Amino acid sequence: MSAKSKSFPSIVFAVLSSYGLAITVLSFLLLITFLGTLSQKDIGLLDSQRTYFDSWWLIHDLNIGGTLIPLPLPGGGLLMLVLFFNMLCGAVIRMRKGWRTVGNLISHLAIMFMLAAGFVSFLYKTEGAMPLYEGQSSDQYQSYHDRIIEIQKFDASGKGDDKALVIPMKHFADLDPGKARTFFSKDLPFEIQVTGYQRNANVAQAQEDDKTGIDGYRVQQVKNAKEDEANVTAVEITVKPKTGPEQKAILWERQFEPYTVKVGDASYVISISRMKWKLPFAIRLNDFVRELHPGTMKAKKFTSHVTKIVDGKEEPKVVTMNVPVRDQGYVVYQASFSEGSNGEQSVFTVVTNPSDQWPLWSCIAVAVGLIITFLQHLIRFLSRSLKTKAVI
Amino acid sequence: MKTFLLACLFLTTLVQAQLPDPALLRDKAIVATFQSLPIQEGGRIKPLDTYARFLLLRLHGKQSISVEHPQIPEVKKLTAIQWLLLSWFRPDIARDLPLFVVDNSQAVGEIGVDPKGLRDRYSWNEIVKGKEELIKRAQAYSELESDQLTGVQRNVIDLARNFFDYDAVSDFMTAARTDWPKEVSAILPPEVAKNMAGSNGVWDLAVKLGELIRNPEKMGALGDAPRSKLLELFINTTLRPGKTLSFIPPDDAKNDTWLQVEQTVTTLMKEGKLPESELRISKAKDALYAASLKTETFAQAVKAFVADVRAVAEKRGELKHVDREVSYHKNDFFTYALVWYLLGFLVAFISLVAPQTSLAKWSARIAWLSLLLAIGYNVYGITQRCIINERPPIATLYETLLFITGVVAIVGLFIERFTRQSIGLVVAGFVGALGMFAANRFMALDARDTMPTLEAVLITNFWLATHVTCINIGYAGAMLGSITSMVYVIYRLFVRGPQVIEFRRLLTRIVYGIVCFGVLFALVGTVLGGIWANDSWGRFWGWDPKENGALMIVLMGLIILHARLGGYIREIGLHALSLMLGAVTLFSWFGVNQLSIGLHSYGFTAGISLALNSGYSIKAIFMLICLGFWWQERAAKNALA
Repeated sequence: MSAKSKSFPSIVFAVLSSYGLAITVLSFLLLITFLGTLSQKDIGLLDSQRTYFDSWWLIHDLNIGGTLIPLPLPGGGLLMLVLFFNMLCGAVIRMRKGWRTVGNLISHLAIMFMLAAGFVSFLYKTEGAMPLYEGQSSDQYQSYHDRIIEIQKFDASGKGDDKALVIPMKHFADLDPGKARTFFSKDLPFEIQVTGYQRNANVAQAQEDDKTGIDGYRVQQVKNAKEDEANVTAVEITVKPKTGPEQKAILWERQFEPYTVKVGDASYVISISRMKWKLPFAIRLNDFVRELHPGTMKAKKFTSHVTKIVDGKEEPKVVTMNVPVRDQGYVVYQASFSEGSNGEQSVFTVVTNPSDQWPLWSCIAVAVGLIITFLQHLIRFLSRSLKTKAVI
Repeated sequence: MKTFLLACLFLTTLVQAQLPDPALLRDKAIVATFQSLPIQEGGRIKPLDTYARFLLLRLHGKQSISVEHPQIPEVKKLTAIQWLLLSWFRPDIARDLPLFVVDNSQAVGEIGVDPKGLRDRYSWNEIVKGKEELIKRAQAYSELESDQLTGVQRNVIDLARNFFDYDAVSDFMTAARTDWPKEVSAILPPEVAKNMAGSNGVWDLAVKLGELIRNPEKMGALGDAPRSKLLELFINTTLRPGKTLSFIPPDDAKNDTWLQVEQTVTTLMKEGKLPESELRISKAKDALYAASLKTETFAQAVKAFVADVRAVAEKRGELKHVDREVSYHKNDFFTYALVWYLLGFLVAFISLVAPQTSLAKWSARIAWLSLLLAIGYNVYGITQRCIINERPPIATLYETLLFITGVVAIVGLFIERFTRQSIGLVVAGFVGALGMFAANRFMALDARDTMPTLEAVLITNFWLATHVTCINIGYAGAMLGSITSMVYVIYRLFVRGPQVIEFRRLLTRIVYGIVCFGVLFALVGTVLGGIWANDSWGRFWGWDPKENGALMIVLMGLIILHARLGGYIREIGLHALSLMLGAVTLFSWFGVNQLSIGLHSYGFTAGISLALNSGYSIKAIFMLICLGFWWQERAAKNALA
């Protein structure tokens, strides 16, 4: 069949299933992994991950003798997607099926499954911290990175429901000073305009002649910390009631009290904080044990003796390094600890990930597939060597 | 004048008579007994021998010290333990020895001491002249950000740390040497000193002083000046030197932290009492000095002291690997392995360059024997470490060097078994010698115990045995493939003849097989690492530099396999990419650690930049030569066409 007679779909299939595409994708993956690793020294892990690995494309500033040359590159997201289809077309659909290729087929399917696990994890995984002092319990964990603006109707009796209107970070993280976006809800008697997002900020007293100041304060930009957990986010908001004057305020992650605004007869509290998720059970920290190597400050083991509480029923559990507690799709890990004036605080990482155990199954399949392939090659190599020797 | 000189000689002899005989400190039985004294350091129980070795390595850059001293003219070299004993019992001699290695002599010049050459060594007595300036500068430099420090400033900081550490070590027996009644009488008012006059040694004095301290009225009546002088005397003679060694097993079986003299003496002063075994061992240490003044009593005293500590340690179940560790260091398995690997390489090389001759046949046999011996030493050494550490073979960067070298050598011999062309022997010998040399240099540069206690997250034998072992076998495969490709390049450059093409093809097949082997282990190891991370940190993949490094090896390996299968590369291309895989492996193995970021803490990599960059450069040069081969082949094809 001549090249001219090939249909467009078959050309696409040929490209998608080609070794050339596999090599190209793998080479770009290698390159962005290398560049993304080096960039972590300057921009930290989270930014590097978002720029190089969670993206469709990126611009890498190549430093050649002090001159920065912008180099457009495909991002990790795009490359992994193409790789998935490349394996599907080339190593599953196109490849000849037989005993000689069974190992390859298994290992490719397993790697596709692993990529799928990564994709599911990327979409649906939640991960956050739950710090607890001894005797304290909680059924919430909060994100390490995602911030939200939370608007809640104030109920002085404290008996009202705790429903809050939430503006997720993705809707305001692009609002640099000068950019603004207005949010509204049928449940709110006012609109809220957000502007001046600063990922890491301080709130300082404004100069007397500073017209940008709000109630005598202004948001001061601080250089982003490499560890995103250390950043303290701030935004400026303007509350616009349907009637009455507009009110401006600064929301800052570290402020002691949330901003309170009165509109009509009702009061609302507005704050910026980390995204929170609720667990279907509560955890109480009974005892935290920190073992050190004798005579040193080097940690040997962290162990948290906890109680899982569901509907008043209590169940003792132990969370320690490398041994998390899994329950109802949630996994509770011993992450770290801190020492404060209130005593020792155990910090748990809580994760829910539908594809939690997929990589394990995938790993077993990859290993089986590769061992079959490798043994086939080895046997072929050895028999060839023995034949050569016999000839000699 | 003659009378004066005779008087001086007599006085000197008299003074000498009050000091231990240095020859005693080199007595084989005494040294061996001291070597086996269990102590606690860095969170584990180890023999005093290990402590001495790594202390000397840190201060001096070697585990032995060359000596040229008028008081011990017959001695040319001291082992680490002999040097430590000399420092304890005869600091007057030890402080003259050229001990402190200083990379840049400017650092010494900065503190007002006459500089010598680069990486020269200075005695305590030389450095002490610039002590004040050393303190001042080290303090100032310590306040700077670590990445802003110049090499000289780092040297000053290191020198200060080493100097004061050694200062305390060499005072270890000062409390025992001190004439306490005399010193106390010179400080305290006569009526108070009278009560202390009968005190023998710091331990009796500590009890009486404790009583005094616990009585604020009496203590206050002493006045500020005597109080601070007394404190100063205690700090300099007892507390500061007493912090250098934890050799007293606690009486409380539940307490796993061994005690130092500083702690026992402080407890004695505060509480007026100590558990019997703690006081007995603390006192026995000082009694060693008095015993050392008489040749006939010293050996017995040392034996009794060490036996006492060992008995308590054994009762606590903490003595089990001490003797094995002494033997491990004494046998120096990896140096022997280095020698045999080197011999194997040289002999195998003869076999390679003179193929199909009787010389080649015999050389190959000798190389086999030599390399088997080398692997035996390598593997036995690793096994000893596993037993001592009670864990799988790899948990530190140093251990990766030992393990990967062993794996490469074993796979090299395996290849040789089937190819019989001496390639496997040459590669096994070369990598073996290089790996053992690198391990030796790494240990010297790091100058820390190579069997440290591990961070909490690493204390899991299952994952150390699976993920870490797998990934290191992957590294070994990649390095072996890369070095075999270097053999290919050298062979192609220098060897001509009819058999060349067949041999090159064989090399290519070997490299392809090794890359397959490496990718298998690197891929499985990397995924296992993800599963471990999922269990430890709640995420399978976190784009941490070390994880990325492992992924890069896998990606590079997959590129090679797919390029080969797709017909994009043949002989030269495979070797060029295999060399690149070697460079990627170097980056993953050592390079990412230099970024000093991420969750994987594999310790020290400072000072290896030069070696690492040389490694990258060599790979790059070989890749360029491959490019030249390709060009040449292309030109030849074009000419034919």
